Amino acid sequence: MGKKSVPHQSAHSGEDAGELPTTLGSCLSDLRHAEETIRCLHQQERWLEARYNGLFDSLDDGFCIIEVLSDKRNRPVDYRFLKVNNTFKEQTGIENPLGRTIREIAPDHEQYWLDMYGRIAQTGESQRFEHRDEALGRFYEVHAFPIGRGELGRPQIAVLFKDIAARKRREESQAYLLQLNDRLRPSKAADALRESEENYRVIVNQSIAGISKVDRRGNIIFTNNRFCRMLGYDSSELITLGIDDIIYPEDKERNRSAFQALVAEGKPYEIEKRLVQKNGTAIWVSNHVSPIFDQYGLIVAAAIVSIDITRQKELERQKDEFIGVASHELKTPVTGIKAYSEILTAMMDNSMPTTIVQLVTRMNVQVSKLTKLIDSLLNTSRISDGQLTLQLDPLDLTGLLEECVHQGQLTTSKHRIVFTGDKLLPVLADAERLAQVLDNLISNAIKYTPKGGEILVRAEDRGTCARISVRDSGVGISKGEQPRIFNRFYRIKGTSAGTVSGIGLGLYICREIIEKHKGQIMVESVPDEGSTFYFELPYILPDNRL
Amino acid sequence: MKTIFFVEDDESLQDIAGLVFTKPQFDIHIFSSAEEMLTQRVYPHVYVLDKRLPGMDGLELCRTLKSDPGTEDIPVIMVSADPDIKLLGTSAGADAVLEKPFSIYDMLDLVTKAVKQVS
Repeated sequence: MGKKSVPHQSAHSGEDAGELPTTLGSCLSDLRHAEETIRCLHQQERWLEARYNGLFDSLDDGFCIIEVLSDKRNRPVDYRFLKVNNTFKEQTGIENPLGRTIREIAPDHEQYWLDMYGRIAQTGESQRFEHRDEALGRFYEVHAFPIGRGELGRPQIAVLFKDIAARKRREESQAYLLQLNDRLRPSKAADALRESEENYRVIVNQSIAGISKVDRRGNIIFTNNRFCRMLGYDSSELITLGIDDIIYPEDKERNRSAFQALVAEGKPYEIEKRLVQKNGTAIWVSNHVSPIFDQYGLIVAAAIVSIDITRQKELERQKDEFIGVASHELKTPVTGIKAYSEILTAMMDNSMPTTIVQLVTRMNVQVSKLTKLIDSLLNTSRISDGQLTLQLDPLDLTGLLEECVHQGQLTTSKHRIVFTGDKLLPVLADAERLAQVLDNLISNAIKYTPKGGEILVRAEDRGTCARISVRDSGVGISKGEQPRIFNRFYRIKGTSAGTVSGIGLGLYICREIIEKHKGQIMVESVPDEGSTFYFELPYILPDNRL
Repeated sequence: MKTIFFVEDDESLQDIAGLVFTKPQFDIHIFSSAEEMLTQRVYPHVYVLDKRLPGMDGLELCRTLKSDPGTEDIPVIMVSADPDIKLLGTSAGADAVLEKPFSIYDMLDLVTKAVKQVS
């Protein structure tokens, strides 16, 4: 725009009441000129906006500008409509979207859209795609492209879209007709495809595992025959249900969190849970769940392979019950043996032959071993029943460690047990149960450390928790075995380790006790060099309740 | 001499109690059931009760003794193989508990403390 010439007024004209000096008058004139320029610019901006709006409104396709909202980890969680054209409402059915977010308008809106827009915002690359919008019940063809960032730094995206549901239906009908045509006039390729599909169908349906597919929202969209038989439903009934509808109430929450992690991060998982049959009976299944991706690498569904483990669970329950009853029943006779042995020991004096004294001493050692074994079996049975309870009190770990190290040293004259470490804050713990863990780790270290070796018990202050470690210089544990050593009845393989007695329950019980304390137990080991077992327990903090 | 009423149906433990609690310090009376013990017209200095008994169990017997004005102040030591005996026994009113398998020295110690408490 050209600069307008504004005539200067004379300071000596005498026509102005104030008789302004020339320079001030000139300033006023410049100011008026600037105001005029701004007015023109605003006019031009309004005119441009009206032209753009007119252009967008004249489009047959829907158009909108959105800003992508992300969480602290920069994951897209929602988006807000900043501008929409006239066709928007017709194409989406959404009224008054401006300033509102899609989650406010359609809370069930699929994560797919957020992931897609998040990706565009992150890469700065435009995308053309087709996708069904379950929440709005439409099928869209979309061209979305980044247009920069708004005042708050949020990425903005322009989205041009068209509801192509009718076209999709036509395409599906055409595909169906083509398929029919293929069937009527079979070609070699169609035969091969049909044969391949038939093979696949037979394999899936004859599988001894139940196989199903669910969409991102957990709706069942496919099941094989075995899965239907497992639950007593028809396939047509199951595809009207969500996966949540067939899960046993107490297992729903556990399953939901694992499924959400799969949908959000594509993380496959395995889970043992109960499903409810059509007649209301619960069955146990072991599920292996994996994500299914589309051509853009986005998760669109999950494949679930289910194995019925009801019988196995029942056998486990019976075994645990047997162990519980048997070990309970063993306690009374063991009390008798122990008492008779103590009475015998008390009756012995210097006149007794040495052999008898030695035999009674050995008997006492065996009774102690038997008592520990029964305790381990009973503890295992109680863990399986969920009956392992803790008596929680603030505990000075250092005192407990010193006592356990002292007791451990009393059981061996062939090893040196060294205690070292930081001063620890109190933890909330069951002293008796923690002593059981420490006794177990120390006695294991003694068992696996060669005579003359040293065992190091260390206390470490880790800021929010205490770390206790027990290091031996024994045979060590191979990498392959390390994940399994905390399993029930697992025993370390290998010739030298195989000579050490035990039934493989100690570490399992230790893990259960530590996890009940909201702690964790781990192992680091190098074969032929030794192992370090360590566990961490959280300090007592205001919000630290078990 | 302190009188002990020992209620236990296992014969070997009855035998052991007889060997441990001897005269002149103790006068032990052994019963195989709660019902048999309840027929007694005299009171002991301490009761030692097994939890699992034929008929009325040890916990019920303990509650009965603790609700009777004639016996409520007499110490009760509850014995059991049940790992929850500490919680169960104290809930029933027992003054002390002993989990099997126990040492005779622990039992002797508890009984001695209990009779001192009565004295």
